[in-house]
Amino acid sequence: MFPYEVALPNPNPDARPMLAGINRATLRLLSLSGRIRPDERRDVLGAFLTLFAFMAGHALLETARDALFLASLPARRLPWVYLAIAVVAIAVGRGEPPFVRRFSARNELGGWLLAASVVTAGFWFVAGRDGVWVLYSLYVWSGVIVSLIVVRFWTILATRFTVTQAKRVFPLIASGSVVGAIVGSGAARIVTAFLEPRHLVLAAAAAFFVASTAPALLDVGDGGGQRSRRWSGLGEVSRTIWTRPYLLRMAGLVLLATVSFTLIDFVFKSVADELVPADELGAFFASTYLAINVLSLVVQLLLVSWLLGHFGLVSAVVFVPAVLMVSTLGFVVAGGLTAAVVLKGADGGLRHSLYRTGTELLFVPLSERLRTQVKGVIDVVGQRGGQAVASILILMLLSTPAGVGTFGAIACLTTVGWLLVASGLKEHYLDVFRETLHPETDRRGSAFPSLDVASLDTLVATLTAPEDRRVIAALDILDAQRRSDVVPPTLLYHPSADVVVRAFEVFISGKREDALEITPRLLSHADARVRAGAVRALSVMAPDRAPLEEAFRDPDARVVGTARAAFVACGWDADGSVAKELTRLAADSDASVRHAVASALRVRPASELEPLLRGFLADSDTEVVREAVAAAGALGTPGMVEPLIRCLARRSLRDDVRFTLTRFGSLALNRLAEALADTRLPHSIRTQIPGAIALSGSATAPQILLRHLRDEQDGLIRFRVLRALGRWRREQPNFPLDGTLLQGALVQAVSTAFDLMQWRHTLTAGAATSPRRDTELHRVLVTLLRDKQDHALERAFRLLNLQSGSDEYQRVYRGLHSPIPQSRAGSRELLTHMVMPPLREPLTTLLDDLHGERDPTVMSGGERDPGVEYLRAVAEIVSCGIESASSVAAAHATELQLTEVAAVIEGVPPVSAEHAATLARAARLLSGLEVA
Amino acid sequence: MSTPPMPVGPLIHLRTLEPFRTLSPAQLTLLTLEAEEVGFTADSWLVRPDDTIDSMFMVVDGFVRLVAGGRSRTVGPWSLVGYPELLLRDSAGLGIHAETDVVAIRLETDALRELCERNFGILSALLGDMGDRLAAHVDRLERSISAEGAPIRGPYQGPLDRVGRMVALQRARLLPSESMDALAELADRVDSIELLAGDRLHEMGATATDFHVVCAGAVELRAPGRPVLLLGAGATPGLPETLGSVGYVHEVVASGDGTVLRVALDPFMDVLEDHFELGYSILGLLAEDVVVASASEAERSAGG
Repeated sequence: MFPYEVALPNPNPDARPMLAGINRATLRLLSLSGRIRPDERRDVLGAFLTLFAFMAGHALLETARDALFLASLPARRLPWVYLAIAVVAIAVGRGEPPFVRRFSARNELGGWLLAASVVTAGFWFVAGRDGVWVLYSLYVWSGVIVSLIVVRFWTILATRFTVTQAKRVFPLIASGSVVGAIVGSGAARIVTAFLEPRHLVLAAAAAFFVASTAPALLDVGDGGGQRSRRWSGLGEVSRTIWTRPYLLRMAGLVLLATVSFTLIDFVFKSVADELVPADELGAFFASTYLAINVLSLVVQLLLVSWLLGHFGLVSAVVFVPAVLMVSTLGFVVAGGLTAAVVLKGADGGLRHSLYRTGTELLFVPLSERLRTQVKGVIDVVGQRGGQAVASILILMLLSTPAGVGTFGAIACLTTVGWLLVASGLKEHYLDVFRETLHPETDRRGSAFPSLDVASLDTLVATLTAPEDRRVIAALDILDAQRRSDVVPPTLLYHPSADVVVRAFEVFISGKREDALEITPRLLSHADARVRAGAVRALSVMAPDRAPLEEAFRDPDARVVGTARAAFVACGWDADGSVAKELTRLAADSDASVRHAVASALRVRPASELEPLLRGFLADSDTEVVREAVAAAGALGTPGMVEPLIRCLARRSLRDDVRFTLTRFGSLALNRLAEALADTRLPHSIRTQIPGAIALSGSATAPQILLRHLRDEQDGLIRFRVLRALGRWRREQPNFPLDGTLLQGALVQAVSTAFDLMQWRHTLTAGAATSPRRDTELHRVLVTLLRDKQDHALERAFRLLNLQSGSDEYQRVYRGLHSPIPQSRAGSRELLTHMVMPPLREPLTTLLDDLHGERDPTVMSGGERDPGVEYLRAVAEIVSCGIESASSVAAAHATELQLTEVAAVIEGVPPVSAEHAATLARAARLLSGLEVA
Repeated sequence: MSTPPMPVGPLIHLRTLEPFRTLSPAQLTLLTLEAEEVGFTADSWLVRPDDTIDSMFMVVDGFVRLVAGGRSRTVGPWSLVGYPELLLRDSAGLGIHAETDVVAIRLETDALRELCERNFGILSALLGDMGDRLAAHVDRLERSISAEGAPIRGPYQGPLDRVGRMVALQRARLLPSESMDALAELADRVDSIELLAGDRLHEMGATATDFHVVCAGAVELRAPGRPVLLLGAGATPGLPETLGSVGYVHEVVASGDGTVLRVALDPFMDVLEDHFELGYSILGLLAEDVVVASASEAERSAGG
């Protein structure tokens, strides 16, 4: 029998809601490698289909265009066409009709595709007629629509996905482009075998029409007018790009890439024009493009995700120009049709796969507003401007005797420039993520910024405010800033006793002797707190027996206590009688009197009253102890250290105690180090000591703390040591710490997190296969393991911070827990670039697991028997050394009657007495010695 | 090292507002540095009623109208608006409209959360304030959720060893079960108490230093002139008062045999300090109760 009273397992856990609307085969396809989450499927499907149909149409149109153009006109005319495309694309983008802004993003995209279909069909109608203008127009048209539609398409997607999602889904979506191009060029190959190339234009129009229906699946917000601001104020956009290094480099990258692509395309077509008979051009282009598109698909499916996953986005972006540089060099050296086809293969194989995916991913981290503003300009002007630059270059070279090899050499040079720009992108790319993280304010808890004249004026003006709490707030700030000199003594005439009492404290701490003129008059104030304040002020600033002895006869014990404490502190209690009376008074009176006495000792310490002060430090009233702590700090005798350390157990006083202990220097630090090592000391005190040690600021503090980070058995104290080291590190970012020790702790933390993750997935998978395991204790255990995994990661980040000496890892960790998806994704991306192998992969795996970016079935033990794995996981958790997890796992083993675990439980060394009791009970229940 | 001049105006204003009145000047400085001064023209929305609230505003100059649930009221300078609503999981529903030109100090949700994480004193102060606010409404609120002593998440009647205490704690309404590691730590620092009918847990008016989690059975909340409230398993009598360090609003007495866990303030706050997520989640849950209770109070007032 199981003793714990917990909820029964779900009787029918397999009854999951059916996924409606999309058939399973489609979902399976979209869930390739488990990369697409259910909430992303509809968008990915819509995006994939849109791109697929559009690129299929574009491949048909491209084949028709090239075959028709080169059959009638020489390749030397191509630069003029490139130039025309650039001009028209920029003009069309710039002159977007205002009514378009009324549409939602997806409707706008659908509308553009429908328009593309209608216009393309019109071209089919006129393509059979004589006149080269049709050929030029068709070429320009095919270039313009691909620019405009592809830019809009990716801009919409970038608003829908975070960078982490985009890295997963963009390769799959982009494969729609490649698959579409294959299908399109394959269809072109078949059509050209039976029909004239001009009929491909009609097929392209049909494909565009199909593409225009697919955006309806996209679930993207209605950008409306905001979305269409991309072209507003070209000058402003240009300034934005010019002033941001990341954007400037991206524009440079797109421009140089396009120049390279255009030159390579020209080289390829020039060679084809020269070496392939005119009547075979249609078939040649169709076959070549088909092969290139197949290559592109292979790259898309096999290379893109792998490169992005293993080398990061920026490295993947560098890969393209590197390959093209080698290919162009190969063409320059070898020449001929084969080399040209290889060059075009490298271009086509990478351009629509890795280059397109990589470039689109580079835009994702930008804020939506910035992306909308600049993406259109960078894409269209970059691409078409690049095409224009390349065209002018070609036209200039065509007027010289330069051969096609020269064009290849220039293409090689532009790829070198592209490579250099891409290589320099990394730091700027990371800066974009750093900007999206919430900035760490460079303020330390105890530091207080300086006040300027205007601020001082504001504060002084506030001293006359009608609300007491505002006056006190202003006094607090002035006191903290040590600017009591601007507080007028007349404030002591304030009608509020609270204000006057606070003002006395400010005058005392500022030693404002000009307040003395008013102070004696307040010895007869109606409020005893004010009278006591006056006595305190006089004892510090103008010690005089007479008023103190007069105050001995005050009707209020608080004033009497204050006066006696001041009297002793001034050294006038030669026979000790006043001290005795004071001790008696403190013992017989309520807390307010002890508080008043402690306040008096805070401003005027008395070593004769040290025993009394020690008693106050153990007082039951927190406010008395608070004053006593300050008084102990002012007294500064060694005898105060021990009672102060004991005060660390009282949470509301800890900050005061820690700061006070710093005033005792090495004396306190040595005693704190001894206390930290003393396991007999109450846990509530020991756990507070690392923080106090860190605050000391001593160079030996990190040595003490690091020693305990390595040797301490108590997990909570180790965590506090780690936190304390972090606090110390913030103050001393350049102080060298033991790197080996930190690395060991880091590996340990990551390793622990991995174990926790594996156990959790095994338990989850086990419960999915056998509903009887899905009990409340199972869920408690799973939740506990997840939470502990997160905390193990937090420790890892704290250790990374210590290693680096900066707080950047802490910011990333916070960003990972932000409620804003973009912040989480940005933090993850930043982390993948900050952490070097071998830690990068495990850390990102753990984070992706916690934040739902990784398929849990991958972790659950694969094909192994879930029952055996479940048993193994429970046994491992029981013996893992984490008390809470071990206890719950043992209890869970008893409820499931996992008798095989009994032997394991008996061999586990208990962490505490209660742990021992839990394990013993579990062992008895499992072996049948006890029945609950 | 010299530091730049501080924006002192906002700092003084912050210090006068209830949630921040116990913060030290240094903590207030941190808060001020995260806040920014913003201006709104008359007849514009600071927050539209359907928008999620991602900031709170301290009105420095001008008047704003708060619109929620078909009711509205106008507030003037030195008012804090959007708090505690910005702590809610679903904060849509409150509209803030500028009736005149308005100057306000804005603090965003992310900034507040980060401040709380970096400086536990700020979270602690906010928890105290929220407890204080909730204590004022606790009678009405508990009545609406208590369902006459029926358990909120199911009674726990098993042994109250460490595992049992963890199970019982994660069933408490105001302790988020997803922070299991924190609850496991808390389970180590609570006392289990077997109750007999009539056992008194809290004395009305005494300063609250601990609260209880009802594991099994039910407790009665008594206050002069008010009907007795019966709370079942999962309830946490005394939690708001303990966080607010104010007097217990009710006398709490066992209505029959049962078990409770006693949670003292200091160890509870220690756990929250080590587990920020738990503390911040509790703050959000308390804020939800405060908003519900305030709305109910406003409805009652409107009904006369």
